[in-house]
Amino acid sequence: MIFIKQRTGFFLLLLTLVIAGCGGGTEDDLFPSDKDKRSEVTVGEVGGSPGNLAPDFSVTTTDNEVFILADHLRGMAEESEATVIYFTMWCPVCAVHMDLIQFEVMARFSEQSINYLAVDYLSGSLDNTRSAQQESGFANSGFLVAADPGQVMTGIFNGTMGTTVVIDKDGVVRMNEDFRTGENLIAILDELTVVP
Amino acid sequence: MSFQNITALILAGIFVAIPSQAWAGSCCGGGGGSTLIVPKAGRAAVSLNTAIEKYDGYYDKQSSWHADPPGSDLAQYRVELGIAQRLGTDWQGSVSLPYVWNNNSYAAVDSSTNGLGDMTLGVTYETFKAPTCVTRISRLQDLKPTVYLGGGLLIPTGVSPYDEVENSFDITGRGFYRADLNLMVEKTVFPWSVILSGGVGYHFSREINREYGTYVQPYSKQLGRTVNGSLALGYTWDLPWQMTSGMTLIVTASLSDRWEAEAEIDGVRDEASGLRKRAVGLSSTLLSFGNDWALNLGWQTSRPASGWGSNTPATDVFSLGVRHDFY
Repeated sequence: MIFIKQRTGFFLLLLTLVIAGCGGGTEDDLFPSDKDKRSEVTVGEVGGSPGNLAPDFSVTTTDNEVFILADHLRGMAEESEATVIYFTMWCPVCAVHMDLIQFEVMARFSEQSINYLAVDYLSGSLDNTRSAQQESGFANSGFLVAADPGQVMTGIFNGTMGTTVVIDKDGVVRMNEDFRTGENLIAILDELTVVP
Repeated sequence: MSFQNITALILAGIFVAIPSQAWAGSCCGGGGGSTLIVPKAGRAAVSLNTAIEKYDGYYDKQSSWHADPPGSDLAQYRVELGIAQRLGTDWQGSVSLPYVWNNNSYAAVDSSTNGLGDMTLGVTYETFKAPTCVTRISRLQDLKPTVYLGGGLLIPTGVSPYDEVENSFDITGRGFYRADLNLMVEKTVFPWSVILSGGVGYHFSREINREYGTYVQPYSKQLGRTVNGSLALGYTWDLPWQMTSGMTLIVTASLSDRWEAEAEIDGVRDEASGLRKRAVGLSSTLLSFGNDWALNLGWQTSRPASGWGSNTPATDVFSLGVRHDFY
């Protein structure tokens, strides 16, 4: 009898392991891969992935200005070297990323014409976004901050916490990935702002 | 009540007083399990713990507290199954498996997702041959504590940002294996108990080839080492009323600290990672007449004041659990 009871415990342990092992959507965590599985991007195709042509968009910022991407492309009145978009949910990680952009990236490229647009994809209204921006300490930070009430930009760029997008002056998406350490962002901006 | 039962009760109390070091589901990862310990005279133990973790702003890297965005209501619900089995006179093994529900409402987005959290496998060595509880200290030997040494392996059975997910709301795990070494020292001079525990953890490096469901150029990432420690003080009552005759109640207050070093991505320091979190907790545990069932109720908060955290959400955790020991 004791033998059976002791074995019951082991079976419960085993069952738990099996349940855990069969959990859906965790294979990449249990068995990480270093294979590059990115799909081919057709040049000129409109979309939010690197290599795509970014669709035009317009957002209203907390300064009550309207930012239209097309106005900042080559040959337009407000032509810029690049537009950096950062998706924020006003979380601790987002705060560090935005600090790094503000104090390292903006400082490094202070002589270049680059737009830094922070997109608050959760707050739903400009008033809420303005409050969150103020509470998080990013008023007058150098960021243009916009809400995304219809989740339009979030949809285009598959944005979520920390997603960082770079669009060059030709409207091509040059980067769309997590901020990580910021090194990739700086490398791409270096490339885009180099004087020929 | 026997000293053996007091030890069982204290262990049950610890389980709630120092709950699993779970993480915010909304932005930092899901729950990780805690370790269940079988009393010295026990053969096995099973526990089922439930917890509600309510988010209340966050501490930035400089330890200043900030409110969550207007209109947000963020919570994570967890159910954790724990099983521990005696493997030898002084050895025992355990498994803890959380299931996580993320329930996040923002002004523009409502999200409700669920999935397995990260599982913990544990092995514990008891350095003592018999419980060391005493009713009074009359000789030096009476000061001898009960010491547990533990090893653990966190297995990423949860869903992390590097798996099949759409956004940060789907996350129920961190995505990294972690090896832990733990030490717990407990001393009871009836009716008081003091429990000191601590541990260090090492995250294993891994390759990442997608973020939030989108494939990216592969890179490697390693989370930082972890250190945690806690101090708990418990008081035990034999309940006097007729209807609770033979039942015992222990109330435990705890202070815990957790620290994690910054991560590295392709060998470069990730300044947005790393954290520090301090929390205080209160729990009460009711032990049944037969001394084999325990009911736990607990509360833990990391939101007393600015400075209690760094780079981490501030939360309140309310927990309710039941535990059964097999003798």
